[in-house]
Amino acid sequence: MPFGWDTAVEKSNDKIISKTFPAELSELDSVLQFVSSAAESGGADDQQLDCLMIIAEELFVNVASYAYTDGGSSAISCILTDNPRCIHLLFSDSGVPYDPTKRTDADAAASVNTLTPGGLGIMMVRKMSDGMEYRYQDGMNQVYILKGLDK
Amino acid sequence: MEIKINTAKNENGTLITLSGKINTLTAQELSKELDAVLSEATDLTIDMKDVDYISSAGLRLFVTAQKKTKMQNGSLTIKNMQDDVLDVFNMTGLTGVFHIIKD
Repeated sequence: MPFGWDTAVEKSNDKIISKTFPAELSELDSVLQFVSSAAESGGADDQQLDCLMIIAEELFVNVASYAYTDGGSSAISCILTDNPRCIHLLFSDSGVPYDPTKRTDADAAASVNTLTPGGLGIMMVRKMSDGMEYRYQDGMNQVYILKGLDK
Repeated sequence: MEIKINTAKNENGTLITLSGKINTLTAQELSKELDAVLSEATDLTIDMKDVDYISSAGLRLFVTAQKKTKMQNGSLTIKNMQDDVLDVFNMTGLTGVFHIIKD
């Protein structure tokens, strides 16, 4: 099965917007602004926008917090497609290989005395997106996110 | 993104009123306030009426605050959550963990 991002690129007519950010928490607002701007240009409503903000935050913060020991960068690419209207996001970094799709969801049903917060962020990404794929290629972690924008 | 934090003591304990967005960055400020409040108070209410965004960083804070109040035989109440924020709690299965009310 082809990687979702590659399929989106084939449909995109090269209309890909990308930006690279230092993998530092202080860049979070810039990351959210970039994704927000792309989503708004695709006609995302407020609820879809909030979902995309949370998805971008959780994935970027993971990279900024754990991918590098000596600093690095995180690239975000975006494609908008029609029929159906979708936004496709690709988060790339050259940090330690890490597949978030393999992360087990947090056991939120456990009692509060034993509840651990780990996995909450990836659970939110999984539930707020319409597709999430991972591959490690050419020394890069690549996380692909699909979000439908039709109402 | 910004968050505004207002803390007041009343006959029922301590009320923290939040407004803005709770993300990885603003959660750091909120964490400090919760630590300070929970070093003295046992019964805490957090009013979320003007919070329109929460990420896992915010959820983690509430889980930690809930554990602390339980250990102190106190209580944590979260009130007036906007629908989108409540959806996040629902999605993660945390609505059953917290005492959530509307005024």
